[in-house]
Amino acid sequence: MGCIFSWFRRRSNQQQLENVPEEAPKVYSWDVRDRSKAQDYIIQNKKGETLGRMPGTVNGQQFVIQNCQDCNIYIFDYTATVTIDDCSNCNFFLGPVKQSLFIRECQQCRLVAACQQFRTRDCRLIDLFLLCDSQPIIESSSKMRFACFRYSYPQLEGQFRSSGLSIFNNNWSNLHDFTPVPGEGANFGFLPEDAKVEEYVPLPTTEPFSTVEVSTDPMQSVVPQTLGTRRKPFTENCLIVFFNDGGSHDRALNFLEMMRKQHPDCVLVQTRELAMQPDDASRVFITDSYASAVKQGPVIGVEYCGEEVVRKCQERVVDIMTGTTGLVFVSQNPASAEQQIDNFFNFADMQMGL
Amino acid sequence: MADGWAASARTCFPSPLAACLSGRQGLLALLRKLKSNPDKELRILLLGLDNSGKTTMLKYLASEDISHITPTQGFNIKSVQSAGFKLNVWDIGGQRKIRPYWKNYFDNTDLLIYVIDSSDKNRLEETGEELRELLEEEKLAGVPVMVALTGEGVQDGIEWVIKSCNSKGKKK
Repeated sequence: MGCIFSWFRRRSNQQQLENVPEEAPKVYSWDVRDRSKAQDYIIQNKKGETLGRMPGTVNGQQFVIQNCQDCNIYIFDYTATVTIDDCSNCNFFLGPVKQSLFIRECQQCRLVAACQQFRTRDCRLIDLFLLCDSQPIIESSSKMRFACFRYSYPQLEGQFRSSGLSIFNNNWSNLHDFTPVPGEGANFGFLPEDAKVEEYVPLPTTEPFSTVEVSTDPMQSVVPQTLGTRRKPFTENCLIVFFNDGGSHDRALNFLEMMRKQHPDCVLVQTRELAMQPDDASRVFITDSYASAVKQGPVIGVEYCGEEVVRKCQERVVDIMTGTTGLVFVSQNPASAEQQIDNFFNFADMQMGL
Repeated sequence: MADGWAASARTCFPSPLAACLSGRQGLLALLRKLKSNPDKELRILLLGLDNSGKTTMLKYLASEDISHITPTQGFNIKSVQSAGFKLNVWDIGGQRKIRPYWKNYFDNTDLLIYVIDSSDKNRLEETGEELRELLEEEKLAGVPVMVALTGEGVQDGIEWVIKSCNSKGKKK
């Protein structure tokens, strides 16, 4: 640390930074915060233990985990931010993180986590089942393997709502590496598609965590399972967009379930939920037909891949829409679907960066 | 950034840092001091470690929604009109790998806002080191610096800044 103090003195003489007009003392959030509670939201210096927090005990607070070895750590609640430092050979479940999850100097860890931002630095050998609202980034990290978030327990859906994260807005496979090493191959890859969560992050077996009714069945996962940027098994694709009328969330989930049951051969590639302006809708769909529909709120877009997937998606959309007044867009034919998928997801990527 | 953000603290910081600022009001008070020519655009540079809250602050200054923020890979710029000020705010990504590029943005800076996440206790040393290096930069000589504290535990952050400043000040 250098000469901050003397620097300020020097500069303030030149610039006259002081003399902001007097006003009544304000009460700031840090004046009223109970600082003694901070210890409730830290897990540190543990070895070979199973520990964590039960639903309803964190309620969106910031959480710190550091210096743990050979531990199973279950945070069955939503949080503001999470930092994980200096942990090795640990398994984690982290409920929805409203802002950023930052993992540093960790190795041989396995996680199931959902967050708005995902960041790592100086990590090795980390396996993740991830939901990330923005593009996940890694720095000076290697042998990182990713898969789609897969987990459920009764309180998890509500925790997603409280955190503001959408179960449909998932960029888990779209990584950015700040420090690629030329000639050495990528620092990250994907877990096998049939990887079982419980073989990476074991289900809790000790009380009280074992009383949480966890399921790692992909069919039950609160977050829809997506292929991501892995290689697609078919060439035909289809875009389906659910416009917001209050019921679109449930309608989209219904649709995904019907697709799973009736067309198990079709693959859900990616899902997004985002706000669109009328102009955006005209550009993406190349028609003005949806300009007013997007004013109702965020839309949910999903991409499917499969044999004759356009026809199958159209049929299932007709099934779920019969008797409702909601609006859903489905690609008309395989040729136009390609362009629509590009338009929609490129738009989504651009929005993410703004 | 559950706490919003604040820059130093009137109650416990002695002069010369009596320009004790909090949030947008505090920034505006500082800008009034800086601005000699009413038509001049002020160029503000936002720097700090990755995940410290720079982009959130950029969007906050521009009165935009801060509920969806994405890690910055290059930089973000926003022109902000606020209370008669024309501000050009540059928000530069803070990953260790890209900090060497910060110097490309120093030219013509009117105000540097250095953002510190008070809650990231494990990296206070690292952020202090980066700030020290910035303060020694020739190109930033004469540029006022505002230290903005984000995250929970802003009070701890303020105490840390004061302690660091005081101990170094005495040594000098």
